[in-house]
Amino acid sequence: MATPQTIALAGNPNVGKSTLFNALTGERQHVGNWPGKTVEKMAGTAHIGGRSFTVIDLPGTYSLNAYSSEEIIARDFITNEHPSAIVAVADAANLERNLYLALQVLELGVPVVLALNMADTARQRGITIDAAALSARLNGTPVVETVGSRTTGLDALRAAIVAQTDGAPHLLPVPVDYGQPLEGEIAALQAQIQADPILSYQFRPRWLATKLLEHDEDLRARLAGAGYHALIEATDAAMERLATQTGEDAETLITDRRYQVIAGLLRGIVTRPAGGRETRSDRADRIVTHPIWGVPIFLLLMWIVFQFTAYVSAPFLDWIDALVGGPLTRWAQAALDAVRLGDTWLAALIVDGVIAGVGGVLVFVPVLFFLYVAVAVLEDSGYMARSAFVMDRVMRSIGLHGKSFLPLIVGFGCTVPAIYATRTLEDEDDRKLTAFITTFMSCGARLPVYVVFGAAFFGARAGNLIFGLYLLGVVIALLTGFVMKRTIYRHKAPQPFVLELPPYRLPNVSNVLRQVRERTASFVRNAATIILAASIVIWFLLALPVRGEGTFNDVSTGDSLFGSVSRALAPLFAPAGFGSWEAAGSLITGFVAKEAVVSTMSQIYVEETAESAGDGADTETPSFGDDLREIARSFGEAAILTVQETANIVPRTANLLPLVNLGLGDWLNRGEDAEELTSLQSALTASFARTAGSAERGKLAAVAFNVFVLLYVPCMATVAAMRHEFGGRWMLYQATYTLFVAWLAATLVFQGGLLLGIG
Amino acid sequence: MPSTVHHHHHHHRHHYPAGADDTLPLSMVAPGQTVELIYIDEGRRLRKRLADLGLNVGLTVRVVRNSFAGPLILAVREDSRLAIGRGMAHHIRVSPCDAAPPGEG
Repeated sequence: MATPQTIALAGNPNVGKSTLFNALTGERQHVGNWPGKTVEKMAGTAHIGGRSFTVIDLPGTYSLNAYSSEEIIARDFITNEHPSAIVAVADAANLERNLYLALQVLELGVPVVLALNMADTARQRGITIDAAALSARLNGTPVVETVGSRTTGLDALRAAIVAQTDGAPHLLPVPVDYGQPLEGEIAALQAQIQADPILSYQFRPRWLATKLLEHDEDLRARLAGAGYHALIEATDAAMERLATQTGEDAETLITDRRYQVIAGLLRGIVTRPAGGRETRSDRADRIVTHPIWGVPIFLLLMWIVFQFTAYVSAPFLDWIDALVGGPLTRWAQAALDAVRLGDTWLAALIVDGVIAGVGGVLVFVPVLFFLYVAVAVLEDSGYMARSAFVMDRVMRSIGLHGKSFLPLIVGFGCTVPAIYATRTLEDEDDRKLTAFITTFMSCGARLPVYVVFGAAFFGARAGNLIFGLYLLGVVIALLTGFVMKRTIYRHKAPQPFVLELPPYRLPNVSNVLRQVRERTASFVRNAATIILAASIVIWFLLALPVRGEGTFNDVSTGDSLFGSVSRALAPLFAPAGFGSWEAAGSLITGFVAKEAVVSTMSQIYVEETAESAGDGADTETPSFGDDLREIARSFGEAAILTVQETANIVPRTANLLPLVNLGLGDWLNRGEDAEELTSLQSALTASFARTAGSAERGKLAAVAFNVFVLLYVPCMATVAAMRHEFGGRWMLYQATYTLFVAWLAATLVFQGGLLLGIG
Repeated sequence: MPSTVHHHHHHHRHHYPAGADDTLPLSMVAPGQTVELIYIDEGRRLRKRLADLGLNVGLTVRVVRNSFAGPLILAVREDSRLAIGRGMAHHIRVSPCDAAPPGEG
């Protein structure tokens, strides 16, 4: 079979482009990276009448002007990759606005199929479109009415795609007539472009001439870089002439003309009921975007999202944790024993390093999965845009706009998806700033540390410490945003807030699943690479003896290279009151994952449990079949608990109200698992008191330690996500900043406490 | 009819259209009112961005929500709904249309 032809789907955001893409390609999709860019593209295969096509889902854009990286990607794909045809997807109910992009696609001179999507909604609103007449006015460009979610019109769309890609010459639409004096200037520039063989090969000359007159910054920069200064000068002169002749700038003239052409195209073809009706979405928005009710509704929804991610995912988190720590580890050990490698350092590396390290991160897959489901539902239903609207006023006070709030909320669950959630922001600086401060939102993995210290040092008042830490995180995040907007971003104009509010709709299941799959896969890939590497490094540090009697892979933590590094770093923390190598060491492993802080502490603080062979050491090793049965059983249990926790969202939410106290469902009669931490707790109080100088000072140092845990680099996965999204340099800035802030805040807490006479 | 608000002119390089004294900032328009966009006192980039979203000079829009704090919601070109920040709405000059506010009012 010949190489498949490529067709691209282009359209505004929220026109059901992805649904149409799903319908065309079925399950034959994959996520790929654009060459040289971090933005992901969706590609799939469609088989139509014995031919196969590669279908590309371009990012949703409003025009082919280049503002955001997504728009440049969409345009570059169309102009550089020369797809055989482009399906311009338009919202049938909003044809005039949608044709603005479609018209620009038609101007490119590529075969086009115009899909009027969501035709059912348009019809419900009493809008009728004469597709045949529109097709005739577009010189025979096929115009197809579709309903992506119900696969209506798909056969017609497929037929049109086949017809437009059969290799026969097709009548291209009449180019937009811009009228004088624009046409004169376009023709002059066009001639200059045509005279250059390279340029006229790369671009359609008329298109390039028009784009230059529109002052397209991306193209100008590219041409300047390639040495086409004469062309740019000619463009500037032409724009100057147009401005003096007409009193308007060239891009305004071009935009106005396009809208005029569109109005002409649609005249007599589209009929709609007399204007200004209040739609169902408008009625919903009266409440949802209400100046008073909007914020409580937003907070309630965020609370539910938070509940959903934290509690609903917990049973599966525990299930994976048990799977990795139990059967998987045993099987790996058994397999290594079978090939007579069971006692070697390689086995220890694989079991204690790789499986424990990567597994420790994979444990978060359920958290992310449920979070992504919640976020995708919010996005697909149209609420996300409203949340930005509602929170805009609040976020303005720290120089961001409303859309930045969602990632911050997500950060309470886990920082990694919070960083990825910044992708919903258009402006790159807003994204960076939001991701930057997101790490101060105390994530779920930091909580165990507070719990252990709270119980050890404050007993019944542990809750105050925990609440105080969460609050401190929010305050530091807001302060950081406040300061950054006034320092490194002080020259940035405040980002204008313009956002389309799509009509509310029921989330499309396949859209939601596709997004969840895509995002979860990307996290897993991450875990499989950078986190694997770091886990191996940490294991070697722990296995290498640098003093004492130990040998490689048989050395106490204190005598290992890890212990020495910790000892070397410890004095740094002396001003904050916890300058012991044990504390420093815990913080190092906390960089791998915050939940590792507690496990490291129990390893190095509590000597009695030095050989952490495990609680099940005495019991018989279960057989493979037993393992499989147990995995299946615990999976079923996790599924039940997940349903239970979903149901529990209702009482948990109702309990927020004063005087309401509903019981939570406990279907498996589990109760709360109480963890046995007493030996660790007493070891901690003793060690902190010793290092700080007295029991009271030890308490102060413990608070300082927790402040440090709250504020410093959340974990390796976060650092990897930061690098993935914003590059190595930004990652480094961010990590350095958090370390600095954490150290400063911890030191201030300890020294400030001493000054106040505590301890 | 809302009263005309005097507009002290901005530093902008574009000329304010002559005879457009009966304009008011979009941010002052009451919900339900339909207005024509007369002039957008913003930089080139932003004007282009607004035009991409269907908001250009000469267009008639209906104000769906304006709470006199926070962003506005506009009905633009048929059934499209745009939220725009209050700061930007201060810089968009509009002229009220004669027609009574359609629909519920």
